[in-house]
Amino acid sequence: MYASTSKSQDSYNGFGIFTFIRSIWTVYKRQNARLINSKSQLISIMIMPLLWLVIIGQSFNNLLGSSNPLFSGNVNYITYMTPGIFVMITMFSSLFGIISLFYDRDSGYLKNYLLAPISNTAIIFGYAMGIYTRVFIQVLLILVIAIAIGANIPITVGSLTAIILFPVVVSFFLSGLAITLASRASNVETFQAIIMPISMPLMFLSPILYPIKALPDYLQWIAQINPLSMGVEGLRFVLLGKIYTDGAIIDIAQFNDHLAIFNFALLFLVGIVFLIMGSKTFLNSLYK
Amino acid sequence: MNQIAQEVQHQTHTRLSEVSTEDLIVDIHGLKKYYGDVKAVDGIDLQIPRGTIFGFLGPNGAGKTTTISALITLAKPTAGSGTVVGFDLHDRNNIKKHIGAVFQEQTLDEELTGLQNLKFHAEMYFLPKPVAEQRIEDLTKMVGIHDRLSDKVMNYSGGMRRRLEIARGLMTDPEILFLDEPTIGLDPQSRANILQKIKEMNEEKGLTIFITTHDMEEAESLCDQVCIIDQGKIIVQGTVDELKNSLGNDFVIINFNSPDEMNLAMNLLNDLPEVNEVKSSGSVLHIGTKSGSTAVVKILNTLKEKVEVNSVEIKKPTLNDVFLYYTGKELRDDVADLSDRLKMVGRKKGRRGMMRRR
Repeated sequence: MYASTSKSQDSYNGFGIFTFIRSIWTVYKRQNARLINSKSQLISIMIMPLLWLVIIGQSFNNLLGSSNPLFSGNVNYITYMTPGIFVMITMFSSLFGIISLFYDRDSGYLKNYLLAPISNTAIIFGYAMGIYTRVFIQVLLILVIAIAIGANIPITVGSLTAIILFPVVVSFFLSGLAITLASRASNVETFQAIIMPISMPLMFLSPILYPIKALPDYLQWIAQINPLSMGVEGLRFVLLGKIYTDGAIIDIAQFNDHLAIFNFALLFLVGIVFLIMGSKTFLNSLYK
Repeated sequence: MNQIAQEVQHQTHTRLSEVSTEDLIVDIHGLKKYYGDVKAVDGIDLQIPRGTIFGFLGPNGAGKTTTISALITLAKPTAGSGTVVGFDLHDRNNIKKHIGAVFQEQTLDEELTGLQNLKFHAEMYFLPKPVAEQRIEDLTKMVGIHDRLSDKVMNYSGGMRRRLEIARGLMTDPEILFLDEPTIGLDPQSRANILQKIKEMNEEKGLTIFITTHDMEEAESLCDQVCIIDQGKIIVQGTVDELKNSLGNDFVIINFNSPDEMNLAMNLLNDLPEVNEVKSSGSVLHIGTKSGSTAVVKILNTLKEKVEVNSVEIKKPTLNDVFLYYTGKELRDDVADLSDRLKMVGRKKGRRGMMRRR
């Protein structure tokens, strides 16, 4: 029907890395357009960080901050908590954000992607990046609010890089985890039923809001192997560095630069593996 | 398959065997798709010449949608071989580049505008931007939604959504467009409009159309070739005329004032050479005949001054009669299908509710 332009269609030949990245970009752009088009989603994203910091932050500060010898000195409670809030907001956005994939499956939109000559893995990465964008906006807002209410976070190139990159790996890891675990969920209610019980222990058995030491002994070992602990402590170490270790409130006393990088790389790898696994189990289950 | 169906099938085969393999855009043999024990599609052959409109008819659950899913590579065939748009049935990536599809259920993103829906679709196929923009303009003008492109799809009517989906299906300049019940749930105007567009695309651009429908009138006015499927098997296929001629009969329907008079008339008419068969119900006679318009004169002459006739009607066989004849059922939802549909509606509502809560 457009004979003169038919040659141009050959440009999407093959599954090269360029095609792969372009496919991710396409899926990602739609996720962003959805965000921009939906005012309520945008507002909700902006309000959540504010609520967490102001309500939870202030009240925990009153509870732990002034009376607790751990949080005297350079590291006050708000400073301690801010990296935790970064990871926590990443966690909720990522675990539950992938639900849009299930909505798209149930509403039928996903069929358009499946019909198009793009790879399944690219589709999932596009969604994951869409989720990270939402995380990124929130993390920046948290940073601004936290500093405004008295967090002592140094602003350097290094710290900003860490604030941007740590949530990426945590986000990919958790989106991948959610989609892998819930790939067989036949509807969004089932998805929520599967993810809800995971999110609670992930959050409370980790040093997001309080040091692991505050947990009963028999729960501490779970917190030690909780992948989120890795994310929180890694980010905290990179952000607060010396003042943090000096504050004597670390859970992983041996923390150093190498361990932080190892931490980061491990989370990143596991995250990618989970995302690829998720795309295989989820989308391949649709082609049967 | 009964004898008449076999005859029609034979005609179709003869006609299709004259078409060379290169001119067949779909050439599939022994396609099967089982879901566990359910034989959704149970060994069908499809040969569709380029540039034709192919009507795929069947009651709910006959296997129409499953067949389409297999042809557009969204369902893995249990068995079967052949080509779609010149590529092997299992060469998913190449087939995907040359086909367009409009699914039975709506697959638009309601949060996005019409324009965004089309743009993102073009990007999935890596269309160069100027090409995409030109096509968006041409196609949306053709289907008549150009002035509403910047509105969110959630504000579109059912007919507009369908037209947007058809435009989207054509964005990639496919060789064949699959339409799965494109007019279901639309008002008569929207339906007529969409059918006209489909016809235009076929006539002006030579686009091959594969359409499934419930509506026999629709199929009759639209399709070059029709295929009736039931319980996963092809019952009969041919042109609309071939199928109608295969029934062979016009019907002359005569209304009498009483059953007694009807019986009297039946005895008189049984001996007429023009009459092939006579069926009675109540005080109405259904007379099968080769040509209704000539037979009715003979019939009325025979009955003249013997039996009083109340009213006369000549009925040509419709595709619906053909369907009834071959499948033994009318094309309408049976009870089980209806409850399925209600369930679906319930689920959809539930989902929308969830979204609002979000």
